[in-house]
Amino acid sequence: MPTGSGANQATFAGELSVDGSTVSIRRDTDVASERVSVSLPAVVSVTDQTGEARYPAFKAIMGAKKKPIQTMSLADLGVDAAQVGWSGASSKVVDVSPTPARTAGTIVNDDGTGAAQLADFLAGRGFI
Amino acid sequence: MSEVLVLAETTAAGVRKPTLELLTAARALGEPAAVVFGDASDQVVSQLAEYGATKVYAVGAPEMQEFLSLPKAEAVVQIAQASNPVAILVTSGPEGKDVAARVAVRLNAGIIPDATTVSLDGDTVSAVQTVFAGRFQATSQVLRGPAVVTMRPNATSAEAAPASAGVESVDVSVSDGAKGAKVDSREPKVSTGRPELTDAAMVVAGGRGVGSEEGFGVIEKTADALGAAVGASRTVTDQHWAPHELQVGQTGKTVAPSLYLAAGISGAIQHRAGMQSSKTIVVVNKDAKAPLFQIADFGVVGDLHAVLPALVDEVAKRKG
Repeated sequence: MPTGSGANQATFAGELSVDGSTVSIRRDTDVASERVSVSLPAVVSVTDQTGEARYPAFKAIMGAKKKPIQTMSLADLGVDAAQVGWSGASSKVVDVSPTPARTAGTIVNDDGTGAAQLADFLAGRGFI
Repeated sequence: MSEVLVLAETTAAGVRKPTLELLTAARALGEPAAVVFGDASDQVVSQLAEYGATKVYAVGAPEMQEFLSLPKAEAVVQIAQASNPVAILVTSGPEGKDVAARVAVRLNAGIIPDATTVSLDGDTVSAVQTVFAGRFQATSQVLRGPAVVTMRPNATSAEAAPASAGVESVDVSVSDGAKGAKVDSREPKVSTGRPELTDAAMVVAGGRGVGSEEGFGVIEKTADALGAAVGASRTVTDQHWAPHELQVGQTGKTVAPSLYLAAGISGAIQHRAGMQSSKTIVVVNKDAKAPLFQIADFGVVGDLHAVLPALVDEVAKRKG
């Protein structure tokens, strides 16, 4: 989205704070924990680490049903029809098939020898 | 053969394993050319060449490290415009996804995120994605532009295929618009001495059944006995019994090690989505009805706090 819109972007925020016109986030990659700041306006995406969702009260849910819905056409948005839908698609799905099912193997009850049997299994497959 | 751009991820320890997997996948599409941001040391270049890179584009501009993602996207776009690759392969991670999305938009190219395999038929690139929490495999074709594909770590295994790689230094111009998100600090993850979760050949993971933060210690001891990485279910990380980055599952890491030993994890579909491609799955749980037993190669119905310490002793005995 920010490409072309001119807004700054900060993505995958695990922590988020706003100070005046600056948004600061923490984001965790596989190899580092980064602190990043952007100035507003900004598009910020967050992970499920930022906090609990605030669920709406019944009254707010009912109120939402009465909100006006505005319909916009492609022309309103200045989008060429050839850029969207099938004609604008840059990829297409050609096949969807179920993942082959895994079947259960040997299950033993631990009668005191469970760990030994497990060690035998692991050794048999070369993990020990 | 056309070039295939591979965005390399490096740390102080060298090239990360997911990058070696990308190079392996890239060889099926064309000639792998790696893009390295920062220091393309001799060690990095020789590692990339060992896995089939025939060229290394070294982007030394300091903006690559100082700002989030966008300067890298601009660099990749400039390299792609000059070299006209058939595909651009990126590791699926926070940064890789960021960069890949920007690159695809700028090049007006098709993108397939989170792919597990990639192939070339004529000049059409296809990729397979695992969807609906692992229950279906979707195959998609890219219809225009160089195919931008982000690939999940561990979906393919890295295989060496030595080539000789020439290094080409690339001067890129970074626009002001790409300097919006400043990286104020970057702290490398502290090494625990254990293998990295997404790279590991063996993973020992604990769930609700460990019972407490102290209880999670038995998972760590078992992992250390086997030389495995440590993983956790969402319950464990939400309770702060283990750090968030150890979470395996739909909202955490996806792993596919040779051995996945799950203890005290019942096996919600969200957890299975992150580990069901593991080659061998072992389950220890006192509830015989735990759904994870259905996909286990070997299972022990019993208390993990009894079975795992006994297993640690058995392993020590056998290793002599």
